[in-house]
Amino acid sequence: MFKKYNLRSYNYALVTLVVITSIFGLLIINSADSSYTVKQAGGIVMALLWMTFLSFVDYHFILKYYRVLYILLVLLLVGVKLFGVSAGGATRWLGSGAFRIQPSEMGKLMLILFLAQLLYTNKGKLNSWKFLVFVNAILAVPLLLIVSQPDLSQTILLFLILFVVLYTAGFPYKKLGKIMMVAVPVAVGLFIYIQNPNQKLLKPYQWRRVMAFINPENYDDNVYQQKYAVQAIGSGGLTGKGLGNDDPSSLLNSNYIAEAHTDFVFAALGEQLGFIGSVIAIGLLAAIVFVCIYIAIKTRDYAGRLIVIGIASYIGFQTFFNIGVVTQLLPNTGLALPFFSYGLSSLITLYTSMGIVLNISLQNGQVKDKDLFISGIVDIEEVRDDEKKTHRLRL
Amino acid sequence: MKKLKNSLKSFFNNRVSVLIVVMAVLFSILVVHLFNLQIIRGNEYKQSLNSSIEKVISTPASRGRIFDRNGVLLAYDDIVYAVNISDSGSFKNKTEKNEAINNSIIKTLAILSKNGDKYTNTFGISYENGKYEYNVEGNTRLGFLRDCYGKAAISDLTDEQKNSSADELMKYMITNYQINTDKLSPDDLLELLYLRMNLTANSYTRYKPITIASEISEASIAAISENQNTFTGVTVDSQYVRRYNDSKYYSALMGYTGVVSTDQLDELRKENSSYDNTDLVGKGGIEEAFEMDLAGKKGEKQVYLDTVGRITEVIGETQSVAGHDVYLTIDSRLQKKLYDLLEEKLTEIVLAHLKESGEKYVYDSGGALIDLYILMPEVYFALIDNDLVSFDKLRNPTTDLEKSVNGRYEERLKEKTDWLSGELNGQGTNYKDLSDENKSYIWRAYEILTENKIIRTDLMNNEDPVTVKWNSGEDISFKAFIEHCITNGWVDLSEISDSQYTDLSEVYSKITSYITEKVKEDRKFCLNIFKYLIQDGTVSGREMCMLLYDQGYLQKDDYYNSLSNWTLSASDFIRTAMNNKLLTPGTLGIVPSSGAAVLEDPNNGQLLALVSYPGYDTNKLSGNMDVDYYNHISKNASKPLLNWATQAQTMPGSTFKMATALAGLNNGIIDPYTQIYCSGLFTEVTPSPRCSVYPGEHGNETVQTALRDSCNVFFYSIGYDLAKSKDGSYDSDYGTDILKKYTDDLGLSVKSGIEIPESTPKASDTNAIASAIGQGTAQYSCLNLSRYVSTIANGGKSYETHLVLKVTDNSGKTIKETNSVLSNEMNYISDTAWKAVHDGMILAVQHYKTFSGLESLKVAGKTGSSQVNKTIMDNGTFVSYAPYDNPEIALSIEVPNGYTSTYNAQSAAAFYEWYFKDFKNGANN
Repeated sequence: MFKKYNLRSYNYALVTLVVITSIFGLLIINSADSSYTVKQAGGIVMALLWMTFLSFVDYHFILKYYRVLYILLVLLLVGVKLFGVSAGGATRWLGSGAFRIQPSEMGKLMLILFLAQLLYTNKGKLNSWKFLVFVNAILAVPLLLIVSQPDLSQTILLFLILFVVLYTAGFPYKKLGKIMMVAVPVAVGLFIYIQNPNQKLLKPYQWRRVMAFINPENYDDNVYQQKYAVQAIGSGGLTGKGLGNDDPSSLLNSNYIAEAHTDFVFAALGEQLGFIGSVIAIGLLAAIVFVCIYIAIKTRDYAGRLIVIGIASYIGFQTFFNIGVVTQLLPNTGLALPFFSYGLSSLITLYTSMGIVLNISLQNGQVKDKDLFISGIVDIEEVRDDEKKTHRLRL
Repeated sequence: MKKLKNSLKSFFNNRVSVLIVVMAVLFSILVVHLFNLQIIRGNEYKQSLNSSIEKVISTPASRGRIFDRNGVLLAYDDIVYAVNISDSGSFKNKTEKNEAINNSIIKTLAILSKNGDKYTNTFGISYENGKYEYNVEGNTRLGFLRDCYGKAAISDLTDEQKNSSADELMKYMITNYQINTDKLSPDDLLELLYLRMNLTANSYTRYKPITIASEISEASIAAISENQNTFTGVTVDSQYVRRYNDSKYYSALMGYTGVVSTDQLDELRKENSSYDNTDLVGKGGIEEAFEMDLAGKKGEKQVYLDTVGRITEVIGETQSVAGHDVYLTIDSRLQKKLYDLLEEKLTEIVLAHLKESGEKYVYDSGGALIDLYILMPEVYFALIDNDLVSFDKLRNPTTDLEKSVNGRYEERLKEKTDWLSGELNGQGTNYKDLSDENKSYIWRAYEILTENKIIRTDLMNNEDPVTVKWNSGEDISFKAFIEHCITNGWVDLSEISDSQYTDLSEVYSKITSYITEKVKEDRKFCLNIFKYLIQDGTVSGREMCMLLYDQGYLQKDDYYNSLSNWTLSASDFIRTAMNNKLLTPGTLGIVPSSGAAVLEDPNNGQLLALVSYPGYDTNKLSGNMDVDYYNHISKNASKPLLNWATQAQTMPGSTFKMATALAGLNNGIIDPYTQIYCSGLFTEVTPSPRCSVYPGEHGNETVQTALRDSCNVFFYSIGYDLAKSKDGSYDSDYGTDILKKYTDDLGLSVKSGIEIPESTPKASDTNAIASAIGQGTAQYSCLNLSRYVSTIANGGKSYETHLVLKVTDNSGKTIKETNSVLSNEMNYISDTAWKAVHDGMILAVQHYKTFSGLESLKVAGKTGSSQVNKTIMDNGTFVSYAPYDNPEIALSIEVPNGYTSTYNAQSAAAFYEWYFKDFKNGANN
């Protein structure tokens, strides 16, 4: 499982970004609720060690067990169904206390790994309807289990991540177009249908959140969390009220921001550090995403590249969803802000992902997949159309 | 074009670059959105943020003081200390919070009870006879359950919760609040639950503290303040409490303070928007009438609150401004003297008419009631009827005496309910053949049926011969009448049963089972049982008197010892207790038990005394009302809550004759020398109304002697002539209209203008002849009589009556002053007419035996009595002024059912003597 690596190609930039972002996040948690600081700091230290260890583990070794990962995930999710712990009307956790885990959080990484390896072993089949149906069916199982917890936001996020992986792997545009012709009308129909109070699709709390977003005045209870968050961020202005300030007019200090150390940590950040701090935080996260994409571009290995693309979109989309919710750009969902929110499941998933990305980056140039261009990444129909162009598309 | 197409194609073919663009767009959206929120709209959010977490908390102002005309303090705000609790701490978890709050409450309660301080809160559950029971019913109970279960609305309660027993609810709350009940007394537990429930209800306005106990002792203040740090959320705060000095003398005119009612709040907000629904405001009397002056200006505290309403910082504070002081025209010495005189006189009247047993009524040969005795059993019954001996305590007996008396009561109750049931299920006895006692039970049972709308009097045909028979108590049984009601469809069972009955016997048995159950809970029915227990000696007067001590109404003293060793009889005890003011006419509630006296300065309309007897302790009603005390006084037959001086109305009787005299003199019916012959009867009309001297006669009377002798015939004649004065034929309305003009101008039949509520007076509008001697339909208060006699005293100047002299600010600077307002001057009456009336009043006083030897006081006056009916004594009135050559005070006294106005004259004589001999000399020194 270990290989000989050239430490000069170790991606120190990504490690530095991850460490800086994590410390930044820790400072915000400390100011929001200092009772979590020690736990989170300990978690970060452990996770960094774990990440470092993983960065030297050959990811192919992990990928060998891709079927095991899939089955393990499905078993965990079924376990949640059967023995899960409920909170706030949803059953998403297994175990209790410090050993409480959220399988759907780990599931993002597990499915990325699984899908990447699945596509690698089935190179060239993306153009067949049969394979597409098979892939979709096999991915639908964990997704349906998560949506039934219920956890709509994780499901949507997972769907987007997996879609990006499939897309990058070379999902044919023509097939995509055909699917869209069916999917778009269905989606529009569903959107109209769920606005009907008697709809059967969404759980009442989900429905209220969606309706609260569409029509805030009528569903005030569900939107107050976002209202206070926006007020806090807005009142932060350019420079903010200062980290760990004791300003009595601070919403954070007056306990108006619920979940200020987890899902709404960005509200605490925005209020205390203002626009400058917010942009720095977004910049750090964007940098991590783009460094990952850069690694993907550099990666010669088919599966490795898909994994990094999946992880980049996982961090990118989750960041957008979280900050979008906190700033009332999107309906209220329960997603953590990567590297900032308190929470061990999220922490472990992120650092594991980073460890794998680092290993992929480390192996750059060592792995060469000769079939890279012919098999999946490039649309086969396109190749036939324009052989010369296809060659220019080499990465 | 082709180039663009190709580059687009190549872009989409490079799928990673699509992802890069998508990510770049998403991050850009976030940055742009944040730029909009924080930079463009940043200030807007800063401002709206402040207003959404800022709160202005008002602090109460000290209410203005009330003084008498000489600056004697009558009402003021005192500062007392209350121990409060608020949910202000932050805790790691629920268990820690429960432990901290429960502990600090339990420790606080321990300190309070150790120092003898009482917590006054009332929980919806109480501990009685060893078990927990609800003490609230219906919607109040549901509201209570809603609060206990922490629901927002009654509709959120499950059926199980709605029907939970007191024990189940307690169990739920004890578990929920994690209370260790081991060392808690039931009272402490209930108080703890009360506080926890209210803290929960307050969970989003935590800056509002909940009072555990107010007016706590110094020892408790010290003990709690010392432990402030360990008692989470417990604070000792100062608060204002309204105090009244010598409150019983001023209760009716003063009013008290209490939590504002919804209606009052609407009214007050129109004038001052700072009122809110927890404010204490004036209720009745000067307190209500001068609310705007007395209230002061609330202070304000601007604070920042967190989400659960805890104060995070005080930003600014403005101090409250104390209310203005009100100075009354009342002279406290005169007020007290008149009150005491009135009480002594009522005591004297009652004592003079006490009789062990025998005939109650004494009629003259013509059938008029001339005397009325108060039989001792009535007095003993009054003790329980007016709540001096508590019927409720007696029925839940704790002492041996209570148990013994209650045993006999229970036995009789069973006997009588069995009898009633037998009466209803058997043959049924004709009402008129029943004993008086049984009649009273049957009649009460009937009243219960009509009050609960089982028998619908509104459907009843009152001309129906059977109904007439029943209503006049003739030979028809209760049973027969109920059956009659059923057959006529006057019965409505919807209140007691859901089923439909058509069969007469079914309906009848439903009613009888209802009534036999209902009477056992009916206070009136049960008291009636007790009445007859006393009347037939089953419960003795001695036992009733001893219950006064036994239940703690009186403190045990020598009389108690004498009663218990049989050396003092019950009737002697009553006499002694009344003479020593242990029992007063006002508390005993034996008629006559009430009265009014008004003392006015006839030169400006200022009231020097406005006495309503009996008074009560306004201290107990003010602020957090002592509900037991309120119920106690509102049950009393003497009606302490009524202002007997301004709101009780009677016919003026012979005191009206001055008005008739003036009308007669001014209309040329008579002149000061006209003589009218009184034969004892006024024979111009039949049936001929009598003079008071009948069957004797007064002979020839002039207006002066007629006032002296209170000759009815003389004034009948004037009334008759006034009614004929239009065209020679008798027109009663014409006569009463003329009289009304004079009474209006004299200030008798118009509102007095006093600052506190007064009843609207009503001039007589029927029977000019009877109206001329103050009978008819006239209704005047003692205050009206006072203004009337003041106008007569000063020769026709009618001033508005006033109770308030001035309003000043705290530094004593006058803000408002009441000037004397001359509302009317009767210039059209000649000096000779005035002199004739004044002379008549002087002669009258000289004629009263009670004033003999007091000629130097120069009192002019007139007695009057008005008949009510043949079973109670007449109302006695007396109006007067002195000195008659230069009037400085006018005194009016009115005692409902006061036997004879001579008693009032006696009170007045005693007052004038004291006033001119002691008071004036004292004041001059």
